Amino acid sequence: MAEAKDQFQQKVEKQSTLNNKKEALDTDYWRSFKELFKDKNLIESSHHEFSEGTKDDFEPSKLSGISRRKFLALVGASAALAGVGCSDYRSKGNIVPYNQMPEEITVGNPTYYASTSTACLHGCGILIKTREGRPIKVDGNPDHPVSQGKTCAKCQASILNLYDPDRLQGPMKKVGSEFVKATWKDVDSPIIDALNNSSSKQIVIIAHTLVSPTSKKVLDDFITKYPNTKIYSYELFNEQNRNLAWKKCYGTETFPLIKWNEAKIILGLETDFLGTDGNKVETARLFAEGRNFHQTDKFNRLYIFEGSMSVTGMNADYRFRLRPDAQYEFVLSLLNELSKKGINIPSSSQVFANHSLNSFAQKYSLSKNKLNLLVKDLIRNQGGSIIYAGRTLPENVHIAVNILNEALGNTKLYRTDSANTQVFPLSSTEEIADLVKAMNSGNVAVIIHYDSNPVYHFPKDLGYEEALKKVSTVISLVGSQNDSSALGNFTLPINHDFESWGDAKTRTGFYSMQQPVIDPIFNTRQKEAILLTWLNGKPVVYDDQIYHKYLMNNWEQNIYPGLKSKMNFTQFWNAALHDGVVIFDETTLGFGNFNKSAVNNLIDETNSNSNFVIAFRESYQSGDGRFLNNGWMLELPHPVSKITWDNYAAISKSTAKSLNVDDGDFISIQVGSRKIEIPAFIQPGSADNLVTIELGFGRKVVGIVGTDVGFDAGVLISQVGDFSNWIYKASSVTKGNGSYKLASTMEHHLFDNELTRNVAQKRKIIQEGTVSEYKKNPNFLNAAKPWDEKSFYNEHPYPGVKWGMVIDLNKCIGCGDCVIACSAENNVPIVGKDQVLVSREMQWLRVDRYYSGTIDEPTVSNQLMLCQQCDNAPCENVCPVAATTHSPDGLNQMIYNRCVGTRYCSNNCPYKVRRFNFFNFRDHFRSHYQQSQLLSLVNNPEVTVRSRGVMEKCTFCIQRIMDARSNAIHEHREFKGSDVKTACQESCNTNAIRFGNENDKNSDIYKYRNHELAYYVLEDLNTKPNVAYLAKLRNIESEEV
Amino acid sequence: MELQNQFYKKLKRKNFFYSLGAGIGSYILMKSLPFKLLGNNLIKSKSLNENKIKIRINPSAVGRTKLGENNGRS
Repeated sequence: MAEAKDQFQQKVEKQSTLNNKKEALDTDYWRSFKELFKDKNLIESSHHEFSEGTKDDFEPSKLSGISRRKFLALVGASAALAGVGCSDYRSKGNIVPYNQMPEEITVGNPTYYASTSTACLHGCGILIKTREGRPIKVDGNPDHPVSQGKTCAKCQASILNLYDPDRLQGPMKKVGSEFVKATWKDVDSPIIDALNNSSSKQIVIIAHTLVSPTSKKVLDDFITKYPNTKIYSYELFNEQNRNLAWKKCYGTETFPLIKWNEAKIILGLETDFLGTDGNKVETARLFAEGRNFHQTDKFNRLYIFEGSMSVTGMNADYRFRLRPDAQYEFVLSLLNELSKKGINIPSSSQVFANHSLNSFAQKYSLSKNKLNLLVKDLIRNQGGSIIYAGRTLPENVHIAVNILNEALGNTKLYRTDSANTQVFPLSSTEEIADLVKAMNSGNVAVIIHYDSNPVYHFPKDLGYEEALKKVSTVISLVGSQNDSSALGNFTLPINHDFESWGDAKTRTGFYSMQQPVIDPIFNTRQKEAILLTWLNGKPVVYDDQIYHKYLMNNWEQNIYPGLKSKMNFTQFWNAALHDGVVIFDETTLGFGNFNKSAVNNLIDETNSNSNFVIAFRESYQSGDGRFLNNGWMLELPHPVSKITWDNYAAISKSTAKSLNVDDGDFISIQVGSRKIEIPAFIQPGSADNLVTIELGFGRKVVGIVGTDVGFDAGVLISQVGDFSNWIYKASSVTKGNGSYKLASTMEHHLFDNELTRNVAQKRKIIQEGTVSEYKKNPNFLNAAKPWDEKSFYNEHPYPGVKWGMVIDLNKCIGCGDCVIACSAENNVPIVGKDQVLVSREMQWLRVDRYYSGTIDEPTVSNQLMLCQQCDNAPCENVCPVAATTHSPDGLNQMIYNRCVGTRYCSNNCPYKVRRFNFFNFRDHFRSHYQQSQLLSLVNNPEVTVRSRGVMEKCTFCIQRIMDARSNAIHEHREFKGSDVKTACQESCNTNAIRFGNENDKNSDIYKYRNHELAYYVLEDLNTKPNVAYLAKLRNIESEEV
Repeated sequence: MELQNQFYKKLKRKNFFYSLGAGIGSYILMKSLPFKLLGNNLIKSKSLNENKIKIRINPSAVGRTKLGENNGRS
């Protein structure tokens, strides 16, 4: 036995020393460098199902002896103590029936309210699901023309902010250096006095993007009353460079919308349009429409040039790693190449004449073949391709891209039926710099932070924080204390979106309505209502309907007459609130002719020779920092790196080598005189000498969840920018002191590597091909099935409905929105960074991200992994207490109150999709944060809240199935598979997830499961999973496969 | 002898009150201690003033009982 163990150990050690690249790259699919290079520790850890400390050996001989008498005495004492201690268990209150039932409520049935999300600036239409008056879930509004029933992760997670115990519960004013509680009258009176006495100086309102016309009208009224008021609007990441370039080229204010679904070729430059760049909900849907495997002739092809891997880069057919400062040179080289191939470039500027694509390819070590293919594709798809530059790129790149699109006739793909609208333009950097000057010279009397956080967002060298000290009255209208409000005199709490009235105008052709689902939970007011109270000049005039009446009045007098509705106003208003959207005919102005002369001043600028470039991106998880106190978002694994609870500096492998750093080691970055230390993360596919950092972390004043989360890299940003406001030359990048633990989930749930080396490839977990391969032989997947399906068990009949899911890997972009939707629907707890570090994250869904190819130019395959609801479920056989069983409709069920926590099921599950409650995470995480009565209100009453010691997993949203079944019975109709949509399916922007009755031969699910591209993960184990995957087709030329 | 009996009676009564006092003290202690030891959230919830949390539907909002396309209840 000992000998065998030694041999095994030797084998393990031998394998782990295979560090040379050639042998390492034998692995076709890999999730991390440790896996790729067969790290000894990783191999060792993969032998263990559970992390260290959770599998302590049980040695009876080492237990201390205890007499029967002692034992009985202890039992007696414990029982007595428990009896006394729990005799007065604090009641959470009584459940009593309604004395007077509200008209809107039927107990046990949800009510939905249409509204508008302001989680970001796109104003997506949402439906807020309430139970007994309590908002519990956010979904997309199917009637909304843009979001069309879908939402992004942030929008889903915004409900957690409603019940955030760190929300301000009432107004506060500063006495000395401390904030003390105050009444509204206490704060309104001195503020009104300050406003009235400010006539010789400025009143300043600083807001984020304004999307509400009525909110804008309130500000206009404010300016009428106080003409010395100036309004500033800003976003940490914005479209100003794109819009300025567009105005120079076409004369109109905003860049048009794009028909992504009609583009055959998409060329993206440093853009993450499937992630954080623009309206992802709409763009991802339209992009995925071009990835239909049953319309292979219309299958789009995505080329991406980017410095560090993004969600869009993960989905590229051809991805080129290129630093953002080289993008301009690339576009000029492409213009020259196209010009040489006979494309008429609509500019007399010959600035591109000196740039050759061949030299460019050589300079940046890019594949000439692939670049030639790109040129060929652009030429043969004139009018059917789109070139799109990222918002962080400088104006010159956008102008050059406009020339490219104009030259290729791609303007046909710009929408003319709808366009973005601007309620109030963003302020320029110069305007904000002037504001700070005015503050410093004592010309600003009052500053109002209108739900904004400029101290955190503005470049630090602007000196806003210092200048704020010279303003006598600083008022912050915010939901919870932030970096800016902490420096002010008054902090006034505002309503959450779900407690607010409003309207939004983000596009031509429709308005989106916002209505409060509930009255304010705390002593908060709507921000517009606060301004209206001040306008009236007396604090006593406030009533909680003040803005509601104002909004209705504005609509009745100014908007409704122009809509020419046949309904009277009351009917119209109620219908508008019901639908959440008002659609009307509105002419969209075209974008005019291309202005050739405007582009003649393009400069012949090439890549500088700076050693390091620093690029900033918006965080997938915390946005611009507004979601830094949202546990769902922070625990969502980053779609690319799979890191939770932190930001980091993404660098390439060779850059890491040159800096002598490994994952988690601190690197020191200096830009001008500004400096930070931040942990490094080696990101496959990164360009060399580039450091990419996501902003939105490291806030100093934030709630309990966001405290000490991440690093504020915004300190490196300068008011004057460099290549652009988000791309900088670094003065130095060096190895810092010490290292830091980054909690990544990418190596979690590994198999024992000895038994199943290169499991993803050998066991056909990931199966993919090319469009041309599929066209030639649609059955190319099935041809490779070697096993014979013989079962130890008799076939179990499922005569009625049998639930199944199909996940289309052609459409899944790996964004993780479904993970948040699932957590919200199924009361999945937040566990915190310390628990993620030991593989105890609880999310029922995970997006497995596999790399293949080389470290520098990897190809990415995403796979959504959840309980496969196997017919021959290995977990069921090993449960000693029958806590996991099979339902007559094919579901693998969990019976929580029967589970004794042996974890055998998880051990025996080949998909590693079961999650064990090592703690009562609601009690364990951050000082019982989730145990608070307020946060408990977010829980779905249809789903059991699990406690310590219980195993859990995806249920296919059994509560939704039961609800739909009961509705069908109640309505005396046949229960169909299409009656149910799971939470993940409902949220999926790209419709990659299908769910339904496998027995219904007319259903989508039946057709997809029997499609030639369908396969099952580990089907050779004969577990008979009910989740099928449609193999990914890459639209690449065969010779490149 | 009688004095001795009275003394013992007094002693008994004294012991009784001591025991009663200790019993009540222990009871009060045991009522609150386990919550503190088990890390119950009651201390935190008091600072949140959660007893005052009430969710009220906004009477002016217009709801719908059907989700639209979703879940086939349209």
